Amino acid sequence: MEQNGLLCPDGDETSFKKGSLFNETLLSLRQNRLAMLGMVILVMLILVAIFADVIAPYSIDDQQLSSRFQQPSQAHLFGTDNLGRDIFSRIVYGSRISLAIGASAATISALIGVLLGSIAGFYGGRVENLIMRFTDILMAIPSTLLAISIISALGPGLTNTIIAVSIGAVPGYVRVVRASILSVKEQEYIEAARSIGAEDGRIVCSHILPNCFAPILVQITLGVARAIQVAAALSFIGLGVLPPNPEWGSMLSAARPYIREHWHMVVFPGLAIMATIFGLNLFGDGLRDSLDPRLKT
Amino acid sequence: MIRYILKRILMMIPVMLGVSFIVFCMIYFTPGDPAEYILGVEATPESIATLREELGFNKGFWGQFADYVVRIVTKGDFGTSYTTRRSVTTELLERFPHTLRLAAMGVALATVVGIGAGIVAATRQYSIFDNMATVFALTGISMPNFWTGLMLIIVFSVYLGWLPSSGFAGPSQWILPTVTTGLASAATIMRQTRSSVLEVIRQDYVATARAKGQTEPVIVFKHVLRNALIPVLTVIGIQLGMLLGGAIMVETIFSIPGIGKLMVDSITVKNYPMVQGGVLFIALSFSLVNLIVDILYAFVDPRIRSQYSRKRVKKLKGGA
Repeated sequence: MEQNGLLCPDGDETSFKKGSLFNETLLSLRQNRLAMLGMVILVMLILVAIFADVIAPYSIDDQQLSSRFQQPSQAHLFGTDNLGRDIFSRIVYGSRISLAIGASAATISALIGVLLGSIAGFYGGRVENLIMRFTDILMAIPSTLLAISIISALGPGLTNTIIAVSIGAVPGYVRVVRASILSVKEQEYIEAARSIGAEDGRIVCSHILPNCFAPILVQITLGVARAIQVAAALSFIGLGVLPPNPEWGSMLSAARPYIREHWHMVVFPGLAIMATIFGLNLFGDGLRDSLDPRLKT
Repeated sequence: MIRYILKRILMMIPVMLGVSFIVFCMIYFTPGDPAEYILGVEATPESIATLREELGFNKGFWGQFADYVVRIVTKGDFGTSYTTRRSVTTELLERFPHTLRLAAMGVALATVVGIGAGIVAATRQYSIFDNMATVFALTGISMPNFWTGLMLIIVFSVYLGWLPSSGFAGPSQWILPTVTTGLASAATIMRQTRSSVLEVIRQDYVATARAKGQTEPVIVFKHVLRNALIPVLTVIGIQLGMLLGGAIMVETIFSIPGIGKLMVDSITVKNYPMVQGGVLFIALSFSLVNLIVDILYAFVDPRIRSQYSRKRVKKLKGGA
């Protein structure tokens, strides 16, 4: 509010403008049924992850060897796996891993991407050239392949999965942020801020970035979906999160040898991945439409 | 036009050099001695030292990187596979046709389904067809391709017994991998077609065509599609490139002997020259596909084409 007061001395007008953008977005999101569906899925998923201990009837490594490969029943909603573990409970706990990977990978890549993109867009010249060529190089490798090659060097594990998934997403943020910065950099209010002696860091953080907020937010929402999908793929080929962790991709990988006899081991973890990505994509698309109609695809 | 193509090819060189640097770094800084991997646990220190000398591992980081790049550029030599002791280039070229065929068939299917569904959805906006196509697209984009593959195997191989669940030799073995590969791309292409047809269909010249009594099929195919398909072309190109890299999962599920499966197998046994070569090879094909699409784009879009011819006219005038 303080920095906005600088540009708009009339305090009331500032708060009115801020409120109206937020309200407008919220209103148009509410009217978008698909986006609301996405949000409901997302909220449910977060609740499941938080209350996993309450929801899951069994623990993740509760093995009952006498009841292996059981079909879905009242005792085991999604059946049991090759070690007699309850698939429903494992999927419920798995939501924690997937959400953690999605959220942290998106945060890391957004932070790096926003930093590099701001530097490139704001300073231009040789620094910009260097950063943009670097993103060109990263973008020349398809993202799943890039993640696979990074993790093959780092070795499997949760942290390495997050790192591998994050790096591939950085170029997307750099491009979005740079493009938005270029579009507001020459505006008069930036010149005004500069004329009263504001430093570069302050101009970027207080005046430019808030105006690029919409595309970054959309990119983050879709980035979480992308991260979860790539991480599941890594775990599926045995390079990401390792068993016995109930990561959905690694559950699918463990189910593969039994696909002929025990379909339920394959169906439910996959449905969990699909529902999550579906929700995030719906919400991200809706957000894009309400925040910036020009970005509609 | 030729200058543009040449410029684009020249721009690819630093990018590829960068890719090879990144790939080289990843493998170089991975803990473990490659000479020990090659020779196995029974190797003597002397034999390891000899092999290190032979393979140039004593040259330091930049020396090794320079060697690597020079060998690729001059001889097309990506190194030797640790496991089979054969040339990485030979093995990659042997496997590439499978990957290319899978990606090409996937994109072909995705193009037909995606453009078809996109046109129907756009010309009958908000109808039941439009809603069905939208739901299909959203589901298709959200399904991870390895799960789609497994589900198709359960339905068509295990329960119905119609199609084989692995291999890539005959047409019956092509169907499931092609559908798995193409589904998500079909969804993406459908979304792009729908939005770009919707944009064009509201233009004044379409209203004019309608006003002069033109029939609906002619309006859609002659007036709308020609303009609407230009952005779709870019999406198709991007999808082809993505599928070349994304074929890894599909190849693993259906045991298709393509580059993707080769790479996953190589990662498990730490066969690094193979991994390096595979990543570089796919990155190169990815960039080449993008280049071809950009050139095609210029050919198809008269607005872009005219820019080049106008420049030529100006030059000719200036010369005279």
